Amino acid sequence: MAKRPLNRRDFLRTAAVAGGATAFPAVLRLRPSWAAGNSVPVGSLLDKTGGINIYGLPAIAATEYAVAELNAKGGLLGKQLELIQYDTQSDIANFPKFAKKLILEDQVVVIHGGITSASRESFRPVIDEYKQLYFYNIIYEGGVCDKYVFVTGETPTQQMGPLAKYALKKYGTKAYTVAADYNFGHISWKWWDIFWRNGGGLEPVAGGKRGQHVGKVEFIPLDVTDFNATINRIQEAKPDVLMSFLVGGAHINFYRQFAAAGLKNKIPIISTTFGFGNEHIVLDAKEVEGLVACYPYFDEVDNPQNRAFKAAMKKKMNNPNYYIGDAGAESYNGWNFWAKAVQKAGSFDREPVTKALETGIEWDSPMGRVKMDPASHHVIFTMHLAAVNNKHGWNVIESFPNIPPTETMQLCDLIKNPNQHTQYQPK
Amino acid sequence: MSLDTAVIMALEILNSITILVLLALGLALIFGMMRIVNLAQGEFFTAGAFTVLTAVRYAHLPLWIGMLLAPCVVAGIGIAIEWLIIRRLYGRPLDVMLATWGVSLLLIGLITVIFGAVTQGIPFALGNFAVGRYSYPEYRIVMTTVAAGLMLSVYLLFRYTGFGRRARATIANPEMASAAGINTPRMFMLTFGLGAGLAGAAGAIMAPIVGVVPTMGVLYIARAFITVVVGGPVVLLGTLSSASALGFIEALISRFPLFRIETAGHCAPPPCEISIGGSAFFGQIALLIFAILLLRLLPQGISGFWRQRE
Amino acid sequence: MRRISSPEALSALLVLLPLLAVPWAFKPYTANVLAVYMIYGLLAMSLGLIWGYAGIMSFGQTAFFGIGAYAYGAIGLNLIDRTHQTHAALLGGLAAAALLAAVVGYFMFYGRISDVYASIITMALTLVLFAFAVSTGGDEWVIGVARFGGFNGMFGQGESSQNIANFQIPPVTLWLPGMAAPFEFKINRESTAGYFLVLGASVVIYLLVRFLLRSRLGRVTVAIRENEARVASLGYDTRFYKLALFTIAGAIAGLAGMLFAAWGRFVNPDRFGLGFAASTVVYVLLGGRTNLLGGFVGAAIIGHLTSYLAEVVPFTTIPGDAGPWVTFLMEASRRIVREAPLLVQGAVLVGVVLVLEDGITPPLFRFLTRHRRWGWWLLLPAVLLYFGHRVACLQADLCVF
Repeated sequence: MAKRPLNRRDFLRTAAVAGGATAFPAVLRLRPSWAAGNSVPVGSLLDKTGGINIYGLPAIAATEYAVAELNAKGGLLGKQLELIQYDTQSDIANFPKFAKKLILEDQVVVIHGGITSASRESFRPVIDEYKQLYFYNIIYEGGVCDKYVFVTGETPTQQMGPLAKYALKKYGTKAYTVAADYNFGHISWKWWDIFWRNGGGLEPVAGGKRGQHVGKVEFIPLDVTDFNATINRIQEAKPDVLMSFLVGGAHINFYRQFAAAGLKNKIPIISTTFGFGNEHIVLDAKEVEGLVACYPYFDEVDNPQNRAFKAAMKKKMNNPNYYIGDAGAESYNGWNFWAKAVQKAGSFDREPVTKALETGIEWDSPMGRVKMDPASHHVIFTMHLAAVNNKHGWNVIESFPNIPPTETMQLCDLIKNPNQHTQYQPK
Repeated sequence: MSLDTAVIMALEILNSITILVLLALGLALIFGMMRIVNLAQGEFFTAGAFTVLTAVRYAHLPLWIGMLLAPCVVAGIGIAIEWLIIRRLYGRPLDVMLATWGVSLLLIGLITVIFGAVTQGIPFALGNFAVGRYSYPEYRIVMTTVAAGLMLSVYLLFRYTGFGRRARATIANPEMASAAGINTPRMFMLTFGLGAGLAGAAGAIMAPIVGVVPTMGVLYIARAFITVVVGGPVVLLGTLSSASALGFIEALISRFPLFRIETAGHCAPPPCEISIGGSAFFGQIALLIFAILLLRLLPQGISGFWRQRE
Repeated sequence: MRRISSPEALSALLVLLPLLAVPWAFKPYTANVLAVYMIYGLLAMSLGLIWGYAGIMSFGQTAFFGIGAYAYGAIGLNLIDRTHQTHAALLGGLAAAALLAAVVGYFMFYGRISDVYASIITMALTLVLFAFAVSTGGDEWVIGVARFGGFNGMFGQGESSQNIANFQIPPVTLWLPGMAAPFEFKINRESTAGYFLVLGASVVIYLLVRFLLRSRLGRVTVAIRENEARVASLGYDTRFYKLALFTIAGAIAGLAGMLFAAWGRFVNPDRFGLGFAASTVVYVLLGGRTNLLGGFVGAAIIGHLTSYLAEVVPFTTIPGDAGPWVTFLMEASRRIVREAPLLVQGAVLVGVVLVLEDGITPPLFRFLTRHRRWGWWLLLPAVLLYFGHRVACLQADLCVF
């Protein structure tokens, strides 16, 4: 490679790039300590770009709306909320980095965020090291038990009870399971194994049918797009119902290929994950109509708070067909749980807010009635069973109030043992 | 094993091989023949799928027109990239790798900007047929037919047409070809475009089965390269033999566990065991390991080895 | 030991003095983030070593990085409660990375695989390790109390396998004979020892590699890069030299991995991911692969840029009555900014390859060489003044502006 003689043009060119890049910190504002001013910084770590943004974008939209709504009502404790968001770009390495930034530089009083369990676990050590208040607002595999962390996402047991009972009643006792091959899939399977064999509970359900598993549970890596062999194995096992814990963009193709093999009307599907990524909008009705899922929130749930919430979000997004989804609703709820605790505690500091949350805050959200369980730091929901309809939406079948996260509550009591910073899983 | 299960397994193997052939064919031309490490090949694939999507969803054209359009559009993109970037980097293989990688990121970014990051679907109305107690989608048979057709077309093109002769001459010995009056820069450009077009066709044909998303190419590029590298320099023979060997292994290991290891620990239901084989994950691993072994034994790839022996 | 030349001394001072001052000149976050840039820089340097000096582009440096991190984590989690230091973990991580590099290197170089195929094999290695690491979420994947954890990353298990995230990977902890208590290298509001650990390691490794390159091993390897056949004909066993350099580069990558695990107290399969391997290559490309410091420069610039783009969140609502063209343009620019990291990385790659030839650092260094006097009399005092003022301002409230 011949070396060109350096001239001033070369240097200026490279210096401009290097100089410009290193001058950036000067451009960013230096944040003063917030106690003096009349705004208080709050932080959000969500993926605005990259593959995870199908969950990130609705969560961001709901976050912005929740904070704006609080500010419009006068803020909290007389101060306006200053929302500082960082786009973690679907890259797990960004979570600890920006969490440290929010804590050390921006000095936020609370962090909401994290989407995949991997992203949450990647910066929970940072949360613990700096004793930062943190809300995790997404469905996940359950079991987080951390004094500084509050979870407003649903856990498997909240979904599996209603789903198991419904499937046993309507479809039969033989189930085949496919799951995403990572922690969420593995832990979900463990809980599902217990729930299905017990007929819908952590303990055997009295007077109910018991389920059984046919074939062997299949764990499918997240990047597999071709499910040919899996579909053939399902046919071989002849189940009454298929339980799906599949996650992500690549796994959407399973439903399409399943329908292409002519199985949609032969084997019904239930799932704890379908719909969270708006799969029902992407897929056609003739591919997934009739699939049953169980979430604390569907846009189709009807109550006064949800009607107002939907109208406001449609206006904000300037799209009359905007679909909020569970991720959005949970983020909204997370911020409002925090806000109510701050008002009850009369302070933004972590310990009084934690105490306030541990008195069991309960309110009417767009999801319906929700209550924060004091000991486990998780939320007791009204769960809704719904089936995919032929209009890219859901038909709500039945609603179950007061479904607690039993698996986490069994293992985690942060009032009796406050000094825990861990995650539990089934035996 | 019953007859229908055996037939289904044969179909699974055929499916694995088909997908590898589709992924590798265009790259076999570009990398196998022209020695250009094109890391943007996955995005040619993606562009083909998105062309079909645009045609069907936004222009409301019938599916088959979209499928015919895709290779043409992507060939055009390939030609543009060759002319703008690759042309300046002949003889610098690592720089080509990096530049095409940059192109790949740019293309993903561009496609996301235009279409958004959501996975979209292409509806199609083909049914399924029964194999004993199983039902198998007809579309996969269509895919195999198309893959065979593409390979046949490439063979005919390179063997019996003037363009094919000139292309082979240019790639075998560019200086001689140029001295003989062939416009070598144009030949490179057109051959690259052809490789891109083949990838576009592959993306188009696979689009209805897999979701159409800007990052779909990323999932396939690794396997495409491995298939081509193991195949060696001869385009058709290498691709076919490599895809057959690797596809066979992948389908087989996805089906049958090799052995199970019991380990200590808590599992539900007990005992805890790690099963080596019998899942999609191990199918992928087996493919990679087998490819590495093949390369170690035959550093020139399968067809390179055959060629040496002659 | 030859005399240090004036431009080298100048650039050393220009780089080291600010870095030494950072913990006092800026808030702890800056030290935190610079530490991780230096760690990435070490990784990039290992790639620059094998690529720029031996001519082999290895996609696998991140594989050794990950192995070093996981090994350090596994050993550290198991021993920390008993020994209260991480000496064994550090040695183990280094050994694991070096061993893997030696095995892979032997396989590649003694198998006479050409350079391009070697790159692809290292890519396959990374993919295999990633697929493996992701699948380790189950209870079976435990070494002592260290759970691999699959996607969720490595944590220490509690008394039963039900408690899966009881404690985290320990920071580098030293307890030498004569010390009253073990000393932890952390970076937080109270201490920036962890930052100095990373800085010290980077300086030491850099000097060692410089020394190595001037030794026979280094000179022969560079000769191999230029013309392997000729070197072989002179009687050198080229395979051995390539293997030796590859192993050393792997060990450096492993060291960077260990520092990373200790810095974040966390490691997960993304360290084996193609995206991380890609970023490393971009750092080296941007910074320059024939200069060992290129990787550090590239890592810092890209890291900065990523942070900057992450903070730009233009979610302005498009007014409902805007015309179709305005709406389209606003939506398009919004989407372009959203995808900006990808577009930027892509543009950097294409641009550097086509235009800059070997990244930013060589031209900068050449400029410093040509204009030494400006460097000593203008640049250095300016840097000293700026940092001196910041330190005074932050620590003693003596701010001029």
